Amino acid sequence: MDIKLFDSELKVMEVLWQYGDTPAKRIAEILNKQVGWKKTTTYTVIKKCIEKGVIERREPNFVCHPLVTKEQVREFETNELINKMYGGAADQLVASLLESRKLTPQEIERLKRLVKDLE
Amino acid sequence: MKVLQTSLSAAVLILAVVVIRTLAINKLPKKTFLILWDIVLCRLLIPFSIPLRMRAYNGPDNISEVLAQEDIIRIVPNTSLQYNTANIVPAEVAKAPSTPSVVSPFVPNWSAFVLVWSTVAIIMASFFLVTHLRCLKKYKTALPVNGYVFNRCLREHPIRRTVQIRQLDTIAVPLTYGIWRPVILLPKIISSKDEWRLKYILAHELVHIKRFDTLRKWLLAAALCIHWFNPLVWAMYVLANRDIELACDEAVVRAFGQTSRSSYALALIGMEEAKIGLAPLASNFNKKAIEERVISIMKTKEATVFSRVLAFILVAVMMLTFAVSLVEAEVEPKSLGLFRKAFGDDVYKYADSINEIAEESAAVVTEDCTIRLQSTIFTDHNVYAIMAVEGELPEDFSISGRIVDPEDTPRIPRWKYMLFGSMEEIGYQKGVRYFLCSATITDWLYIKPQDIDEEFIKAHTNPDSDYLKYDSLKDCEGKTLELTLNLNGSKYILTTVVTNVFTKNIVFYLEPDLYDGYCIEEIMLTPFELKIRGCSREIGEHSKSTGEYSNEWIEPHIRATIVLVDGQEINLDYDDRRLFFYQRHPISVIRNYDTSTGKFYRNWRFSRWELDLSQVAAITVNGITYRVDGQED
Repeated sequence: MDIKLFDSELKVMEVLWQYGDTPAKRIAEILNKQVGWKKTTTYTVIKKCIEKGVIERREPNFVCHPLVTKEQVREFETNELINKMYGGAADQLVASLLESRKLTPQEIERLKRLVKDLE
Repeated sequence: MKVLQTSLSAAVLILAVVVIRTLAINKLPKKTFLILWDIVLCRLLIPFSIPLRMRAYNGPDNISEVLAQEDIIRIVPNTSLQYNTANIVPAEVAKAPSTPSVVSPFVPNWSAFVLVWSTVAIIMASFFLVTHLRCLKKYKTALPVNGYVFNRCLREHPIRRTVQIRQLDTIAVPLTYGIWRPVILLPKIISSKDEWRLKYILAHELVHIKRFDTLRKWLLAAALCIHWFNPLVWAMYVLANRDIELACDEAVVRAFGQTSRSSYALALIGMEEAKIGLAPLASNFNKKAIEERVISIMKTKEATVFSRVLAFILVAVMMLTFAVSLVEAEVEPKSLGLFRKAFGDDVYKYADSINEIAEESAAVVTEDCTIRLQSTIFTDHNVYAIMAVEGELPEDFSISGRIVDPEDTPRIPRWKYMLFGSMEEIGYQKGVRYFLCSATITDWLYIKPQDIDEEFIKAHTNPDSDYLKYDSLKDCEGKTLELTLNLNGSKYILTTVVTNVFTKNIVFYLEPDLYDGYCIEEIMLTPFELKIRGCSREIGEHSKSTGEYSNEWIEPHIRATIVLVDGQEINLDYDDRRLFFYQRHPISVIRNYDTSTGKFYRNWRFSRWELDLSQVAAITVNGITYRVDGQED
């Protein structure tokens, strides 16, 4: 099984692996203390996990049950999904260090030479 | 359209900044450009210009509907100044007042433009916001980072707001979001082990935070949404966003010293390189931008005194231009300029006689339009009024005017003069149409309504006609100019005071030099009359029986002669039997005196002839000559 999880999702899973089945409310409390997330943020991530099929929602009280073990999950290295986020519409309302569009390797080589020339 | 106006004046500023930027991008401190863009932003985003004359809706109280004065209304349409007729109005032009309001063909239908403009603006704004909110949801899932590097960086760049540094695995480049509680997000590809790169990145982002660059980007986006139709604003959006980064880079290089230039540039290029690994799709779209940035970093120098002074001057000039552009938007068009369109250079002789009108009674607000009496010129026989019309003017619009005495009782006729004339459109500026009403006075009292027909109007508005030459509005100062507007079948009245009447005259004020028992105090010559004021000779005696003093005044006999430049003399003598001998220059005389003070006046009114004052050399009164050039004989 090849399950790819983002760091945020891993964080939720870690709580479940540590505490076992946990109500969503409790997870939110723990993560608020641990990483400073708002309740809504935690719920958003839990929802994503349910969509990916790594968490099962059990009623009552929105208890979260992990469907995968720590060993089954491979940490998701940087990949094309980042690109998906920066696909077409980049967020214009933040100050980002670089533009979202990418350069060709040739262009980068040229820039490096430019730095050398101007030194 | 305020937005169009704002966009245009901002466009000039943008062009200026673009030119400065092209010429001196690497010569001036980069922060200069941030300030220049900020000024442009202010111009683009300040939506209002406080009008000098507040024109709020006045409520129904000030819209005097003339319903009670049926007798006036019956006459008025035939004799009125008709909208859009350049010349004298034939009687049949008057329309039934019930014509439904039709959009005037002269007024573009702005509402369609407004609709398109606001739709696009809203679509663009929601694009920005939806993208941002969607991303924000992900930013929130970022995890905190720990490490001495981060803490040290935060210590080195103290900022009043609490700054959080977090890590997110779904972003490719570092970014900062949040204006009041800023968060720096680092991609996972940068680990805390990358210390040399990290210190630059954090320094860069902290400068952004310190300078409220996120807020700046929001404002830039807002300006773009509002002024989407202006290509120069798009140019500004692109360039200003670049300049934010350039200014930030400059601050980082200055902070780390000149030697850091290449390592900082290479750090940025390294980040670009790392991005390539993340995605197969590459484009050269921002080639220019990154190249500009690298060059800019490599050319960063310590600011010289010269560049600082230059930057200061540029900013000052820009501020001034901005202030001027703001004020210009506020100032109402000069009435002088409007009158010039009608009079040509002749207007300058009336310059001191232009009355700017501020009275509330001089504006009419209806559902469709606002009509305001903006300014007037009164001359001896003529009334010129500029009307400013905002909104849609109904086609059946007509206007009539008269001069009334506000103190008259209803029993006595309430008006003194009817006005005959025309109305023409003389200008359009900033959504306001300007009309000039020019009218000649005529003495209402002498005319029966049934006598007013086309021929009559032609005869009495002909400037060559000798009609009423001896009447002057000068004698009506303080009376009221009343314009009746016919709009969609309703009548509205605009009023203003007759004042500051322009009259041509030659006046001599004399020392009260008593001789032969009487004195002359003032001699005034106008094109249509000679007026002499003075004091009569007194004969008094004490009654022998009662001892009471009784007196009588003996009016002086006055011989007056007007001497023209060519030597011709016009004798204005008259005898007490009121027989006038000078047929070539017929006159009528009005005279009166005050029985208690003996003050008298005597007016020689020129009947059917007019005097060209420029041809007058002197006036001789009872043997004494008063020369126009001031020399005494």
